[in-house]
Amino acid sequence: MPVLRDASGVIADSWIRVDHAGEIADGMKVILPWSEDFAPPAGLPSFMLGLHLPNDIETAKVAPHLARLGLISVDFPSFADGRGFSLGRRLRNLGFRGRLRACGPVIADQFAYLLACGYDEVETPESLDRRQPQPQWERALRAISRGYQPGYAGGRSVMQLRHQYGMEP
Amino acid sequence: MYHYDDFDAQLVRERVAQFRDQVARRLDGSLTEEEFKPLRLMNGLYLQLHAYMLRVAIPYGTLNSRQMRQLAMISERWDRGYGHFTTRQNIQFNWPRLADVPDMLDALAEVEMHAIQSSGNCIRNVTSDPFAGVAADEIEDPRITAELLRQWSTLHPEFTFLGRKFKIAVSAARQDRAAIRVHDIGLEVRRDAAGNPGYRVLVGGGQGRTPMIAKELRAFLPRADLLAYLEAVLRVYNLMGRRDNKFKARIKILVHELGIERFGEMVESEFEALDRSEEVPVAAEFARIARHFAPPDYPPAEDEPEALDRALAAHSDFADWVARNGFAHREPGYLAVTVSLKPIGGAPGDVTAEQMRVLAEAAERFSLGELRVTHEQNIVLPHVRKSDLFALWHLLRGHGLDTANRGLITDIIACPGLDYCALATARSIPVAQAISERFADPARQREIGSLSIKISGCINACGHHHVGAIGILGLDRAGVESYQITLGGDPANEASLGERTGPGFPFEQVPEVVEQIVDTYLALRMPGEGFLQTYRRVGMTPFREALYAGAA
Amino acid sequence: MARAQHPVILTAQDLIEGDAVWWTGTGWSRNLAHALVYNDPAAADAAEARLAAEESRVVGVYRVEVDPAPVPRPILRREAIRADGRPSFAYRPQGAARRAA
Ligand code: SF4
Repeated sequence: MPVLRDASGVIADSWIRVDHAGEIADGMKVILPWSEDFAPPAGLPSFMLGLHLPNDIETAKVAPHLARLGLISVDFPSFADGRGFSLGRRLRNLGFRGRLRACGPVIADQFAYLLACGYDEVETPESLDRRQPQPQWERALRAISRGYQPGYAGGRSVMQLRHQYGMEP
Repeated sequence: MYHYDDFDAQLVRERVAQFRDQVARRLDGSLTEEEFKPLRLMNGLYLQLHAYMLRVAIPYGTLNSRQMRQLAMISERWDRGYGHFTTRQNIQFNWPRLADVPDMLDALAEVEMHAIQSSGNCIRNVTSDPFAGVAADEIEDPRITAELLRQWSTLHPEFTFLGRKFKIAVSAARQDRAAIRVHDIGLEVRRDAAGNPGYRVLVGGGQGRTPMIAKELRAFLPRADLLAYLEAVLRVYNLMGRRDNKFKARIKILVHELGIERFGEMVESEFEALDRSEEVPVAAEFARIARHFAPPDYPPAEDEPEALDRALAAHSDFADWVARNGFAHREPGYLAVTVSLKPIGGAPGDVTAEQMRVLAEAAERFSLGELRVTHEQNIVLPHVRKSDLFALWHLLRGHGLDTANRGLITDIIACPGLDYCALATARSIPVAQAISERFADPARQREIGSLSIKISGCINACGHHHVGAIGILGLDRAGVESYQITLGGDPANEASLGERTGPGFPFEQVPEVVEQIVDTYLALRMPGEGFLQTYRRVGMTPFREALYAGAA
Repeated sequence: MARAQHPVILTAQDLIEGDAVWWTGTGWSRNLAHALVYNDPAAADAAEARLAAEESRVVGVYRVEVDPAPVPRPILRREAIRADGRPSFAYRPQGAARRAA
C-alpha cells in the first residue's frame, strides 16, 4: 500500500482512485484520472471529487474545473522530473484551494520543496518507505529553517524577514 | 564584497548538516545511488574518472584573501595540495573522499563559502564581469544583481529539479566581459530614458552540442520586476522544456523550437498571472546588498609614480608584464592586474596550495584583500596601487605567477578533459600544453597579438571552444582522439560561434595545425588588425586552403 | 562497427574513496593485476548484470576491454588513464612546469 503523509506525519487516505465515473458509489471520495473529455460528475460535491493529473497537462484545460475539485493529485513519474513543482505553483496561482497531492516516487529530501510549492501531502510507493521511513521525512522538513524565496514560505522567507518592518537591517 | 548576515550563515551551515545526513543515508542504504547523485551534484560533488571531484562556488568570481587561504588549507588537508580554477569562475578539487566532503564544506562555511548548486539540474553559480567595480565603462557593479540572484536561486523550492542545468550571467558594462550571450539567461544592466535601472534580458544562449547565441526577450525590464520575471521564465522552461532527451533539454532548444516570439508571449502571460502579494521590494533588498559593494576606501595613490617609471625602464620583463596583464582602473593611481595561471607548459587554471597562499598574500598586501577569478581561468588582483606593482611582480615572480600573456596565444582555456573528466572523449590539457610549448617565445606571442584558443574534451564545451578565436574540440573517432578546429568564435558584444575548418586532426598534429592557422593570419593581416578582424574580412577559405592543401 | 573482440574485465568505483576498483571474481580490488579476465562475453555479461544489481560499496559497474597479458591493460586511452589512477601528465606542482624565461 502506498504511504500518504503530510507535514503532520503519516495519514490515512480517505480517497479512492477509480478509473471512471461509473465506479463511483454513494459516499465515496474519488480521484478520477484526467482525460480530455473530463467533466465533474453531476451531483458530486467538490469535497468528494479529486482529479489525477499528468505533469505535462496544459493547465488551461483544468482551470475551468478547479472550483469543483476538492483534491488534485499530480503525477511525479520520477523524483528527478521536477515539472510537478511548477505545476503545483501554477495550480495555486490559478486559485486552487483544495488539497494538493504529489503522487509518485519522490524522496524525503524533496518534501520541504513540495510543501513550499503548494502541496499538502505526498503519496509514495511502499517500497520507498522501507528505505526512507517517517523519521527521515520529519528530519528533511527541519533541515533548512528558512529559504530566501518570497512567496514560498508563508511570509517567513529570508528576503521578507529582512524587510518585514519596512526598515533595513 | 558581500558578507553573510545571520540568515545566510545559518542557511549555509544547515545545508552542510543536511548534506552530512545525506551522505550518511547513502552509506546506510536509505538513498540509492540514483537518488543520491542529483543530491550530491547539487552540492558540487561529482564522481569523475579517478575520484570524486568537489566544485566550490566562487559567486561571480569574487573572493578575499582569507577565503583563498582557506582553499589552500582545504586542498592540503583533504585533497592533493592543488586546485583547478574553471571557466565558470569556480574552483575544483580533484581528489576528495566522499566521507570527508561534509568536513570540507564546513571549512568552506567558516569563510562564507559553499558548493551549493555548482552542479546539477538547477540554477548554477551566477557569473559576472571579473573587472566589476574596476572598469570605467560600467553603469553599476553587476555583482549586486548577481548576489541578489545567488540568494534568490539558492535552494529554490520550485527550480531545483529542472530538465537541465541553468546558467545566468550578468554584465553592467558597455564591453561584455561575462559572455552573457552564451548563457541560458544573460542580463545586461541598463537604464531607461528616465534613468530608472533595469535590465536587458537575453535568453537561450549556450554552448554544448547545439551552440546558440542568446536572443532578446525584453529590451528593458524594470529592476522591481527582476525576480518575478525570472520566476516566470523558469516556470515556463520547467513545464515546457523537453525531458525526453538530455541534449535537447536546455532552454535554448525550447526557445528555438517555439520561436522567441511565442516563448516571449508565454513568459509574459505567466508573468502577468503571477501572485506577487508576498513579494519583497526588490529595490530595498538591492540597496541592502549594494552597501556591501560600495567602492573600497582607496588609500591615496600617485597616478604616475616616478619609482614605477624607473622600474619599467630598468626591467623589460616587468614592463611587458604590466603592459600585458594590467587593466585600467577607474581610480587614479590604481591598476587591476591579471595573474596568469597559464605558465608555458602548465595545466591551465591549476594552482598549488603554496601559490594560493602567495595569491592571498598578494591580495592582502597589494589589492585591498580582494581577488577575482576570471572565466579565462586566471586570477585578477583588482585594486593594485601603481606604486606597488614592482613589489607585487617580485612576489609573484618567485612563485611562477608572473607569466605576461593575458589574452595572448598561450593564455589558453582548457577543460580538464580525458585526464580527469568521466564524460570526456579526448584529452585537452596536454593539447594546451603542447601548443603553449610551441609558442613559448614571448616575442613571438606579442607579435601574434591577442588570440584566444579554447579547448574542450567533449561536446559539452566546458572549454568554451565555440567562442574561441581558435576553438579545439576533442572527439573520439573509433577509439582514437580527433580534434575538430573552429575559427572565428567570440563571446563578447559581437558574439559569434566558430566555424569548422573541416575534418579533424590527430592529437600530435594539433600544434602544427594551430601554427599554420597563425601563419596564415600573419600573412594576411592588415596593419593593426587582430585575428578576429582578419578572419571576418578574409573568411574561412585561405585558412582551409592552408590546412587541407594537398588533401584529397 | 565491427571491432575485434577483446577479453574484458569488470570495473567500478569505490563508493567512499571514489577510485577505480576491479572485480577479481570474489570481490573488488584496487590492484588491476588481480582483475578476473573474461574471455567469454556471455559470462562477462552475466557477472556485470549481477554486480550492477547488487547494492554494494561500489558505484557504476561496467566492462573494460583489455589486452590480457601479462597484466590486463585497457585498450582505450580513457580506460588506460583511469587504470593508472592519475592524469597522463605531471599534474601536481604547477611551478615545476614553468621554464626559466
Ligand atoms: S567539455 Fe567535456 S571533457 Fe571537458 S570538462 Fe566538460 S564534460 Fe568534461
